[in-house]
Amino acid sequence: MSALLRIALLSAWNRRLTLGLTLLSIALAVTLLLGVERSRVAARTSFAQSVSGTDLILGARTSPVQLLLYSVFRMGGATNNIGWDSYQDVTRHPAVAWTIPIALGDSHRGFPVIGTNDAYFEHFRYGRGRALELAEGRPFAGIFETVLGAEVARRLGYRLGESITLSHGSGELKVAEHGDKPFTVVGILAPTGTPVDHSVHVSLEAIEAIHLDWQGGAPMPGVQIAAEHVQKFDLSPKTLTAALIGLKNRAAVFKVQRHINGYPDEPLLAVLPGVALDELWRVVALVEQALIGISVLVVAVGLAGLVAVILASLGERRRELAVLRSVGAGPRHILALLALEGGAVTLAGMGLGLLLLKLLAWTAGPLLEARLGLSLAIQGVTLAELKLLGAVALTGLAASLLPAVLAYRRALSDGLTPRL
Amino acid sequence: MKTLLPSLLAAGLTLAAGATLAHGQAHGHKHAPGHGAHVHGQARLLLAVHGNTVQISLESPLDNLLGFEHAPRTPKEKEAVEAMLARLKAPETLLALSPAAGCKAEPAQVSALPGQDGQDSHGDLEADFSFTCANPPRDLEVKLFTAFPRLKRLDVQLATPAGQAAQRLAPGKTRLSW
Repeated sequence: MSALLRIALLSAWNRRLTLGLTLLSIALAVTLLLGVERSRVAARTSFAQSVSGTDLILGARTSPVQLLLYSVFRMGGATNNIGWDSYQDVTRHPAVAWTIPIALGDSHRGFPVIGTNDAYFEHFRYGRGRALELAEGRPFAGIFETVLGAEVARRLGYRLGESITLSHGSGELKVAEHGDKPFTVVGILAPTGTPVDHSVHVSLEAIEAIHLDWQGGAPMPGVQIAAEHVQKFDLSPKTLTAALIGLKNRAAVFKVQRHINGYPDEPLLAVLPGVALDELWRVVALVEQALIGISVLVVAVGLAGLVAVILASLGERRRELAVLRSVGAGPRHILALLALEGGAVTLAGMGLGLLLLKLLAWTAGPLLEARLGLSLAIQGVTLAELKLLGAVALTGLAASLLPAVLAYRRALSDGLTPRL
Repeated sequence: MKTLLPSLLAAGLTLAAGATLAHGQAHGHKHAPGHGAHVHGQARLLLAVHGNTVQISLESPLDNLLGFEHAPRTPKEKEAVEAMLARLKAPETLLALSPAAGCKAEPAQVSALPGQDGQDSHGDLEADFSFTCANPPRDLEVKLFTAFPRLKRLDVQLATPAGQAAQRLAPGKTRLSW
């Protein structure tokens, strides 16, 4: 057997270029397959991690998935806000334990600004019920004070005491700056791996204050209210984008939801974040399946390439195999030799693919985490991935049996009597 | 990749929105505010578990449970309504929580019977069940499909100590666990 292995190795080394390229294509295919699977799982876990302990999300009537996306993940925008009075009404419902108001719409250098209150720092939970922690400083107390998410501070290099200005909207328009009312950084949150890291937190009053001298989304010409004078105005919020609601008793969740959805004065919507997330996955599942399907096809192409290369090599190895037969190798040995080659290339390709994936996660992981908040934690191979790898290995072995069987069935004399 | 995820989500949203819109147009009748869509063959089951108490609500078009939605006119239809009510009044036969939990059902609250709320074309039924258990229950066997053969799909929303989830049940898949 070891002699056979040696022969196989030496013979393969002789054809190292073609086999090497085949190996690379299998490796890339495996990297793609596992990469797609891994990002799918990472997206699900990181979404699921982002909100915990919140029983309901309150917003204007829209699609539940959309409300979840903009209120928790800051993806897309709200079509409507909700009135402060309606929000107050909901908070007075006897089953409600706490609420976190959320006002969106401004940004700081591309990072969304969230107007909220102390409840955010007290009640917001992520992961498995973990509370927010301040890495430095304290929650905001004054109007022009802000608390930054970990990623905002890290990427823009902000420290405590720094002065920043907010922009109106998503920040692409340079004219819409709230430049006259700068904010002081008073706190920086510890990293959470959720959208909180990418957020700039200010008080609800601050959101009102910076828009005092604004009308219709632009500064009113000739009107300027200096930062030190805003206290004289009524800064109580008029509208909100959304609110997170925690209940005293989970069993009441559908009752409160029904109450909110039937609220007579304003079309409101309450969604269960976990339910909305599942609905989102049900929709996205189609796309996920398409991506997995494409990766499976790419693996099939890689394996077909392997079979083609070994089949083609049968022609050039006619002499080699004939000589082997003439010195006593049985057809069974030829079969083993070729199957061994195909199997080894498949397995080596899978190994290289895994290595490439590790490398990719290691180099591109931090970028993905910073840009998308997706944490592709450099994890071990999961059960689902093992199943995929097993399927690839089995298919590879089965496929390499094809050229092996062809060679097995050739006559002993084949290749020894060259036709002229 | 930076633009891929949001655009995938956007595509998904459009799909979902399209589906709802298409349904609304196809059916073309007005829903009362706060009520779900009215699709025959489908119903909603809401299940909330807190400690040893379980609250379950069933929201279904009457057609699924009766085969008609108007006020009962013939003796046969009246009989059907009575039979349905009798079924709903015995929640244990419709919703079987894990036997180990030792759950007791309280009398079910049934609202909106056919013809009662003045609408004649489409009627929905809402039934609220509540259970008190000796131990926290971990699963539920839904027997609604055998009791009401016209019911083909059940969209379930769960709020349990294990978290929130949406699941879909059908005559071949009747078990929920958390």
